[in-house]
Amino acid sequence: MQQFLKEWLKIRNMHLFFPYLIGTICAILFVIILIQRALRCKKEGTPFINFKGYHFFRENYDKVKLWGSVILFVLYIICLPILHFAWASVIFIFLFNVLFEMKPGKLFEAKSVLISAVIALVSSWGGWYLFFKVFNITLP
Amino acid sequence: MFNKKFIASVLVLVLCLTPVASAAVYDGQRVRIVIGSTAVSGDSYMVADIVNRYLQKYLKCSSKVDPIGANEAFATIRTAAPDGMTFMIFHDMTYLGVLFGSYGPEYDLENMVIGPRVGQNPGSCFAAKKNAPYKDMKELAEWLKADPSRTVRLSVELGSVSNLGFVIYYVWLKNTYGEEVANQMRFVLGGSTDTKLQQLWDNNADVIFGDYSSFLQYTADGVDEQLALKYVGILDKVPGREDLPVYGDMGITLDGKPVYFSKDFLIYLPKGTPDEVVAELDEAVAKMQADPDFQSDMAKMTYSGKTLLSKEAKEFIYGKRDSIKKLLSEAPNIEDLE
Amino acid sequence: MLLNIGLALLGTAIGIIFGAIPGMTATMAVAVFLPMTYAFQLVPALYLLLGLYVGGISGGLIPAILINVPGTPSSVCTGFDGYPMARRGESERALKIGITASFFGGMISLIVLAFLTPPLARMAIKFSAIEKFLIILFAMTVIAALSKGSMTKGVFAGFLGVLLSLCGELSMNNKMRMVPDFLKNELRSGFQLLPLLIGLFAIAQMFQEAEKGMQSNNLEEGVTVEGAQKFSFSDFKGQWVNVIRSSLFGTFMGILPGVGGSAASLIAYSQAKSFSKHPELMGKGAPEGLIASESSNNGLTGGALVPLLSLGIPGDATTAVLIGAFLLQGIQVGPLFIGQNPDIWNQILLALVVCNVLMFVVMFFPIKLISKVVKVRSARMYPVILLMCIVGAYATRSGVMFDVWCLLLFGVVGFVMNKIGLPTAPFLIGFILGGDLEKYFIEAVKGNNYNLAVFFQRPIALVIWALIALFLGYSIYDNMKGGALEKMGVKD
Repeated sequence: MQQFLKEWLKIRNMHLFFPYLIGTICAILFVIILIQRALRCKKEGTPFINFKGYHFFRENYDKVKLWGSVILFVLYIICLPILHFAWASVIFIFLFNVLFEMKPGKLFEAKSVLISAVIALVSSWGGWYLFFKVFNITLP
Repeated sequence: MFNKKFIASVLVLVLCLTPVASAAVYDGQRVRIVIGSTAVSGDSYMVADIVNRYLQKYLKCSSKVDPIGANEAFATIRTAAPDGMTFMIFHDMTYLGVLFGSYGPEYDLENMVIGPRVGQNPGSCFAAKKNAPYKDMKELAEWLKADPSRTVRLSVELGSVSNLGFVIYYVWLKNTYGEEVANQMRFVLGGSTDTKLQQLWDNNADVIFGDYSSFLQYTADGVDEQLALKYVGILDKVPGREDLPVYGDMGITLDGKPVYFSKDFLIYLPKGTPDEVVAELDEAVAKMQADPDFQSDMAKMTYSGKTLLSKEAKEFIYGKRDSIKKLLSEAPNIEDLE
Repeated sequence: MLLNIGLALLGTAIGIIFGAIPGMTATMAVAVFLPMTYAFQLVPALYLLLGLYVGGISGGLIPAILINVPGTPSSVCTGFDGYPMARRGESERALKIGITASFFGGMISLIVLAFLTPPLARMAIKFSAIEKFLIILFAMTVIAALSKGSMTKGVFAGFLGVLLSLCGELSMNNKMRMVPDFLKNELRSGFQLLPLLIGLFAIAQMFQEAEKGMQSNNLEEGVTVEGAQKFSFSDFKGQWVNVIRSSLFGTFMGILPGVGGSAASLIAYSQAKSFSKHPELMGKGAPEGLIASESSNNGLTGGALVPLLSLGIPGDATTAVLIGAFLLQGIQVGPLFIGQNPDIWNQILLALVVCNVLMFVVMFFPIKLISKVVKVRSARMYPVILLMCIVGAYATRSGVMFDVWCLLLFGVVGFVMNKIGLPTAPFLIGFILGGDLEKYFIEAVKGNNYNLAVFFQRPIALVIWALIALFLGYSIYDNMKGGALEKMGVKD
């Protein structure tokens, strides 16, 4: 054991020791989880792999809001260095608000859009002023 | 309430976006100074902080020091716009990282614009327990030679100035006392200053590398014997501390010349930065050098305020790099000395 | 003195804001204000910075309780019980319990700092890498406590977290592992904790809410804030042992350099669980867990100053930044500091008292207003949370855009983990502790001639082993009991 560790913890390759160790532990645990599942399935008489009736997303999930928020997030990050923090935030916080407020049937409501705009302006520029100007934190 | 806040924000935004008519590049601008360390208690931050205050004064800009670490700082200098609004203040690690192989050739000095030197820290040093049987690293060599069964464990970090301090000593030991004596020296992998101190207290190392000021309190009289340290080798002369064993004074040589190695802090800018930006920095640094307050601020921290304008700084740092490159080509791989 | 108290008030208030914003920490607050302290003398500067420290550590409980997003890594455990309480409409009660526990934690650690600093510092250096490795291991056992009913999955998630924390360069030998070539510049220093933390919690939650259509708020259905149980100091009845034990755990973890605040609250939480009369309620909104977490992370503040002021070695990340404040004023902290600067030492103690009291006052009284956040609809709240998360992620390393991408990445990871039934909290804990686990293991083994027996030879080590064994045994027993009850159809 001593010799084994000495070889593994040489400066040249000491950075690999833990990844292999932890990786092995993970692999073992994964196998245990599979066995546990197999045992349970056998006992309950259900098949080991059962895709029937399996949904990754919940039933009738809100496709627009979920995928919309992922896409908006990506665009937001892309725009941050181009438009800089304050402007990018005003635009995207507004869009996020509008997206999340959408209701089936009536997508845009004038009052709700107005509130979205106010929230976007106040939070973005308020945040920009507080963090950048007052706290002197580096922002995009 | 929201409205007031909003109007105030808009006003501030408008004020900030209004361009200030001026010939100077930096006047009224916001400047980001990145440093290659994440610690705000190390010499990189301390030097950058002092320099930042005086640059603000002489460049008339607002600026901020961002301690983002070596990796991010190098990346920033590679990708930032070459308008002078983002630059790095960092020490010899800038080229040592490439020489030690931690960073690829894309990080070479040739891929940056070298600005003026803004200061030096002479205080890189080795320290041992106060009751160690040698008073400096020259005596240490004699002590090792006197009995081949003796060994000494030096704790240093890989790929940094401490690695260099180790290699210089090793090569000198080998050339002066022979390979056997040099091989009585063992290399212990160290980390931050705290880690190295702990190694010393746990008796896992005999000599540790660090900065003069971070060891200072432990070397004073009246410190617990368990904690007490003494300086056994310092890489350059610290002003006001003529009593310390300096590498060059002890006869430690490199290429036949006595070694005096200070960490040099330079301004590094992205490739393609126009000359007038560098010229303005030169001008500000010249004023800073002449400012007695700057000199006393640096001296208070045991740093030196000897600056160099960009042209000399470039020549100087290229020369320094080349001599160290040569040293490293003769030196053994430190990993083999474990 | 008035100036000092004013600065302490300013510092505490701003610290609370930093702590409350997901992704921003006390460390960041102190670092941001550090350059400004140059204009002050040392003592006023310390009032400001200690205010930021105490406020920053305390503020983290607000988002942990209200939106289940730990504001700082050391408040990870606060949400375990605080959030279920908020969902029951007891947000105000939970916040007040948390604040009061924080205050006690801070004061208890202060007493330790004031009276026991020199002997504790001497003891702290007796803790070598061996003991620190075991303490980190001990903190990891909380994973077992958290993953009731699906122990294997929890432990698996925990080790996945450890594995992920190993990505990047090992600082000991500057070599990279587990990083694809095209990301080698971005991932040299690995994934950052804060983007991972807020991505896993805040962003994943945002996606979950989006999936549900963003119609609700954070309250359970049919619950109103008005009808919920109110806070009274009798909530602390029977909890004094818990308060003192947790505070001392926090203080002690603070004293040990290199063992961070999250480890402190993890250990305190798991201890509270194993000593609890109703362990089955922990994680479902029991004040006990909240008290343990908050009194331990504030206990850290006094503890972390012990090695800083008596050895010159910081006890945690924030006190490492405080060294900078001393240096900027030309003062060395080290073994002689207290003896040579008795005035400053007394001022530090006084400042900590002032800051803890101010923290309590500043947070306790306006809390009624803050606690109403649970009533805000998700659709309006998440965009603003997102904005704060982006600021926090970007500020993690003072401006690295890759960290913002990680925020999104771990938002998706957290969402997927929830879907496939892998718990995220153990994953996070594994990630937090993984780096230290490796570092101390390598240091301990290398420093002791590669002999694994060293882990069983030193007396302190044996004590920690005993605690680990005791706790693991208890968790496994508890887990099996829970499983058996479930099978019989009994719900707890």
